Amino acid sequence: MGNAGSVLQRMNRKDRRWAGWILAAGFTWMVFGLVMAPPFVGEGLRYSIMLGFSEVCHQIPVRSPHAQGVQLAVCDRCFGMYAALAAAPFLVLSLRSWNPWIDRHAKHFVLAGLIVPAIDWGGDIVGLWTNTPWSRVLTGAVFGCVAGYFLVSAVISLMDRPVGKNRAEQCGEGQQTDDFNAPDPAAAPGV
Amino acid sequence: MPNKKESILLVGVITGLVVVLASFIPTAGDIIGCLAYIGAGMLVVWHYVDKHSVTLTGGQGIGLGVLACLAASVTSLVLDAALRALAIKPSWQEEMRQSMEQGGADISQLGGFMTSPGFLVVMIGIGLVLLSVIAGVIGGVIGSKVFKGGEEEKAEANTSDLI
Repeated sequence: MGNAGSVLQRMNRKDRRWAGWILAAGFTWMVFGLVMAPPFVGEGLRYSIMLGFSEVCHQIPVRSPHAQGVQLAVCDRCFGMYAALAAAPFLVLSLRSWNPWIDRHAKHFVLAGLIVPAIDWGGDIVGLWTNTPWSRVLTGAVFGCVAGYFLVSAVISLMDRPVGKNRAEQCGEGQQTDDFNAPDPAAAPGV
Repeated sequence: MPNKKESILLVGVITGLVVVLASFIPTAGDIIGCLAYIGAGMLVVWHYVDKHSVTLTGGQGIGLGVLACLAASVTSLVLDAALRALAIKPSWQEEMRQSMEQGGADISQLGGFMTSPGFLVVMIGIGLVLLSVIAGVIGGVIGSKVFKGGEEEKAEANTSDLI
């Protein structure tokens, strides 16, 4: 931990943010990789992965995506969510100039992310419509996009926090170093 | 920063209980369980923010969320094991055999150790840790965005700026 701290201390602000982005991307891709793995691994490992995800998801075969005739580790809706989580690091990069605006409206985005899959699920439950694999994947992806966006931006912010001596320097008087690529909030669209 | 243990333990134990009770509901129990873990991440942030009138950063929310979900995992694993020991629920092996047969998997291809109770408990434990991290991170970060209660704790200037 001490080594990690000193490495972080030596990094400039931009590098720390990129380290945060890589960390978040690695985490989301690892989880998505596990979700996708069952058709491509041996029976034993496949069983272990399915067992691991059985606590997260109902894994009902008819409501789960298959590849090469083998069921993936989670259901359609969870698959959409994990796929969107894996895409979130790129979403963050492409929407970075919008970040201050998105951050101010976080509650609305979270609410939308929860309501959209709930409507698809609820409509099916009360018999208003029958949802399809695509509707489950896409509505799951809506939640995944919202959760993934805030997850990646939180990890970037977490890594952006200065360590030790740099912390005191950077926090004092609001001084920022190497902030050449930080967006100007006033220039953000919709502000 | 005020003590977080109370919020973590309270939410962890409540969530663990909810998950175990929900597991008695066929199919919907899994969905409720998954949502309960994400909800635990949000709930612990809400409880902490409400009690101490502070606003947490996304990173602090992640930390609280993961710890609360880990507490929930431990609670549910212990309660679940107790219920299985009392024969109120079927054994791990029986449940996994049913689940694999539903999924069309060939159990005969698995090594004997893979269907042993020890292996199942370890794998489910790993699954719960994985779930705790995934759900805790998601719930915690969402909670920190939704629930704000005052001054941001040890906040850095411009932490919302991205790369």
